This record gives sequence, structure tokens and C-alpha cells, in this order.
Amino acid sequence: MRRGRLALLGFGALVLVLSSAPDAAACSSCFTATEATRQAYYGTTLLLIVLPFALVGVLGLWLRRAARRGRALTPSG
Amino acid sequence: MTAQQPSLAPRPALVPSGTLAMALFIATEVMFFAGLVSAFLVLRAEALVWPPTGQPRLPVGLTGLNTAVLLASGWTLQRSLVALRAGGGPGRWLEITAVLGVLFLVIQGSEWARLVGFGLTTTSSLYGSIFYTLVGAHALHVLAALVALLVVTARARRGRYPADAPGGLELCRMYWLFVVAVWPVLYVLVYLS
Repeated sequence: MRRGRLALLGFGALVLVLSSAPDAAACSSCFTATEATRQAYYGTTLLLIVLPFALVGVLGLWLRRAARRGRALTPSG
Repeated sequence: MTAQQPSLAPRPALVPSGTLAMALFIATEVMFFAGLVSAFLVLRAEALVWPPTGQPRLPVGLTGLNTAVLLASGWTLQRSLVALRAGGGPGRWLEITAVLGVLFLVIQGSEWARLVGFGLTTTSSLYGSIFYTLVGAHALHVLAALVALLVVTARARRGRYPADAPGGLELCRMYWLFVVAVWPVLYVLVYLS
């Protein structure tokens, strides 16, 4: 019961904060230019989303390879 | 009869801490350059004519030669590590790499001086602004790598890097090869496309 009230209070506070914020104007250059601009936005957004995952993946594979190499070199006893 | 106790000896590291730290640092640098390249691509897409009319054309041939110089420096640094691991010390490869790095920066600097003379500055247009930001960021990275290389060269001359533990030389090689690998991408994007 108490948790429900707290959640309701939190939601109310969030609505209050969000409703008091000024309107967010869109970037003046976004989606007002050519098809090439739109493609550039989409392409670079995709690049910047995918790249961190690719880097983490490469790093993980590198460490996994190092672990396998380490196990192969360690004599089992 | 006693149960077999687990070994309390520390487990060997998968990779040296310094190597892992350098790999993580290079990953952040990749994101840094990806951000700059993204900004360049968006600005270029927004322009009706690229390079904008009235702005000087970039010296494609000279920079192509400079690209070869930087690529050669990556090869010579690799040779130094191979020579060190073979037990004969890094030889003169480190000094040759440093000379090639300086040569790259000198050619880059002279190219910029000419471009500024032709009116391409950071404030002349968005084209000038993004050109100097992108290529300048890379040049600063080459400069930083060069300083690191000079420190490593001095230490190598004092015999600080044994053949089985090249340590700082290995880290320097990683960073240098990253800087070398980024440049052809920038060259194709900024100069050739």
C-alpha cells in the first residue's frame, strides 16, 4: 500500500517536472534538407550505435583467444 | 586422506594489464574518430557542392605520398619489435620510425601553411573547419605517438626492454599502428571522395 503511494507520488513528480520543461525545438538542420542529408544522418547514427558493440565484441574475442592460448600452454596436472 | 586443496597461487593474467589498458584506450579513440567522421559525413551531405566553390582544392598527390610515409613508419616499427624478439635489439628501426613520423608531420604542416595561404582557414567555411578539426586531430595523435616513441627509443637504447618482455615498446607499437591505420580512412574520406 505504502509502496503504491510512493510510486504514485513519484509518477506525479515526474509529470510535474516534464510538464514544466520548455518545448524542445528540433535541430534546425535535421530532416529539412536533401535525401542525402537524411541518409547521412541515418548512416552515421547506425555507425555510432554499432561501433561500440563491435569494439566490445572484438575485445571479448581477443580475451577469449588469449584464455584458450593460456589453457593450451598450461600443463594439466 | 585429505581432499585436494584448491591452488592459492595467483592465476596468470590473460593479457598484460598495460596491453588491456591500451586496447581499451584505443577503443575510445576509435569512437572519437568515428564521431568526427560522422560530423564530416553529415556536413558533406548537407552541402550542395563539395568542396564548396571558392575554396582551394586539397593536394591529393602530396598527401598520398605522405600516406605512404606513415604506412612505412608502421612497417618499420613492426620490424623493430620483430628484431627485439629475435634477441638482437630493436636495431635502428625505432629511429627510422621516428624520422618517418617527423617527416609526415612536416609535410602535413607545409601543406596546411599553403592551404592557409590560399584562404582555407578554420573560419573561412564549414569545409575549412571540419578539415582542420579532422586532420588536425589526427596530426595531434601522431605528435603524441611520436613523443611516446622517442621516450621508448631512449629507454630501448638503455636496454630496458628484454626480448621476452618488450612492455612499453609493445604498447607504443599498438598506439602507433592505430594512428597509422586511421590515416588511410581519413585520406580517402577527406581527400579522395
